[in-house]
Amino acid sequence: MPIIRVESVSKVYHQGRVSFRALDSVTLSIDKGEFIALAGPSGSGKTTLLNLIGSLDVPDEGEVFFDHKNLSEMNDSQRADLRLHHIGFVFQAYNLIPVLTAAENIDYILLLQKVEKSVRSRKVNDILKEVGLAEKASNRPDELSGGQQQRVAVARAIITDPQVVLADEPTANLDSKTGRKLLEMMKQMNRSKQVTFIFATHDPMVMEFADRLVSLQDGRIVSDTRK
Amino acid sequence: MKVAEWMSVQMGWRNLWRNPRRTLIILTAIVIGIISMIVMSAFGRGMMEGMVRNSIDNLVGHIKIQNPDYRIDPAVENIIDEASEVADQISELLPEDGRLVKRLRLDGVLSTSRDHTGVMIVGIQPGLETGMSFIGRSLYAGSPLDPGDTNGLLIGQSLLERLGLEIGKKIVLMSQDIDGEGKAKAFRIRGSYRTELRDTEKRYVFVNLKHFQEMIGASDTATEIAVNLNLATTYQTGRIEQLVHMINEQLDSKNLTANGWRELLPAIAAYIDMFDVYMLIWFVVVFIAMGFGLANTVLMAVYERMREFGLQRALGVRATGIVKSVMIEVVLLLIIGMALADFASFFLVKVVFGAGIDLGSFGAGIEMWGISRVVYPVLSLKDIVMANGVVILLGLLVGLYPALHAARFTPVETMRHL
Repeated sequence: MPIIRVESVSKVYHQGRVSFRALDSVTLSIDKGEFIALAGPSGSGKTTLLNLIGSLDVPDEGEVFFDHKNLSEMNDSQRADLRLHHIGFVFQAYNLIPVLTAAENIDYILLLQKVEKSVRSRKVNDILKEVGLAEKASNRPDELSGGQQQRVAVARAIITDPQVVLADEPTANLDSKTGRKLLEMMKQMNRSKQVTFIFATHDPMVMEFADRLVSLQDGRIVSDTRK
Repeated sequence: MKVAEWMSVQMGWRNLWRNPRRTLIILTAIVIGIISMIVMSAFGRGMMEGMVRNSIDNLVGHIKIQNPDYRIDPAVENIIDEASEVADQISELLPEDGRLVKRLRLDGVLSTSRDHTGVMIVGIQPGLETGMSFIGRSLYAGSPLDPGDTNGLLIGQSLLERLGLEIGKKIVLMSQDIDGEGKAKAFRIRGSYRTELRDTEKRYVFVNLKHFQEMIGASDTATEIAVNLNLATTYQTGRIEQLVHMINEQLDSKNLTANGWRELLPAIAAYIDMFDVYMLIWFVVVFIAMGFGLANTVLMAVYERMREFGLQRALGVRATGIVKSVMIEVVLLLIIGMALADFASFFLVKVVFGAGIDLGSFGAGIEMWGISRVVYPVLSLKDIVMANGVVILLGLLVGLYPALHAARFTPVETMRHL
């Protein structure tokens, strides 16, 4: 059963008088528990597709279904609630709120979900141990390395047990060793929690880790390979 | 407070101090703005209070009982007959802190061997004027009137100097008697008085009531009976109005009317009534100047953090949540500013200006308005509440603009700025 269905989706961006078709009639189906990479060069439409799947944006044409719900039919608040409860995000940079510590950044999402304090404390401690950052719990983002920040972002993305984690170039700012560790951690979570991971990337290492590789070019899917 | 809200407050607080210099600059603007509101209103209120006190002190009193015709035509025929009986009747109505005096005042002429000048001759009960009017206070020179002194006179220091007189010199007072005939009597200057207002010193001369009554041939008469209460401020008009009502009921059968100082000094009463409106306008004007700074600062902070707002929106925070988080920062800024400003205002009014602000250098200008040379600022709770209320209400209104701006950032928009 697919958790995400993208049907004939197009997206055009306008910058002044210039229009840019970021996605052109893209159709894609993603099943629960997949570890999938959307690959392609800059401007191929991978981030746009990720944004549409994550309900951060709406398509100009076509429809996106998340767990059988049509995202185009949702209003802004409903889409915010969907993201809060069902989707985890890991971005390339500026992932964390600078004034919150590592633990608070993770706790923040649980607070928004109105989870009880005792449950929150336990979950935050557990996840920090899981990502190997228990000792950095009280550190603010500017006191963490890039890799540590991304691990906190991953921890925050999965702490709510989302159905899908969307990661946009998560390894772009990391060295290969740190990037590999991060991917290994996500892969392990994918296996143990059956969380669907969708990456937008042009990093060969991410593609190597992915079970399925969807390549985009000029806003169209040019290949879809399962390993 | 819910935990999520507490976290928002914590975030707001920390965000404020991410750029301490900017926060301190806008805080300074808020603090100066509120201080100017509170201190200026305290100064204005002090000036007004001084003006009212001077006027009440200037032979008006809190309540005055007169023949109603005397207010229109202050002539000898419009006097109070059997003044002692009337005073006794009023005394029965007075509260414990209430006191009264009788006065007989008529226009007259003061003559020296070289000069004449028009004056208001006031017959007073010397021992009873203490605490009732300026003449009851210690004299500038000479000695006070003795109740048994048949020809003693007190004169204003300014008039004394203008006429080139000295203590102990003899002068002649002329006035109409009860039949409208001119009467003259010689008096000897016993002492001179000083008042806040020089015009008062040039206008009034004081003699013993009993001997003035004898001079005009109208024993046991007065033109006014003045009543004073022990009031902390002149704004406590409730007790005065109540007593005026009681006295008027008591004197219903006589052709006499009691009036409170607000009726006796209508221009000052109207000025006081308008003062609150003036202050509110002043507060709003100050806030408008301050509000631009506040909106601009918050807007700058919002633009600097647009990526964070985008991130928060991506994580599932609703637009209303973003508005709330910005507004929390605005409220924190305003609360800190208000607390500092209230404390500083209190310190300035009570400690720095507690001994009064000397406006002596403005001389005649301030006297013309009946303002005391030394103004004692009056800190009013109403003004503090009004200043803080204006700041918090308009502050929230002004803060809404950047807050709504922040809520409009979409995650996609903000990520494009990466």
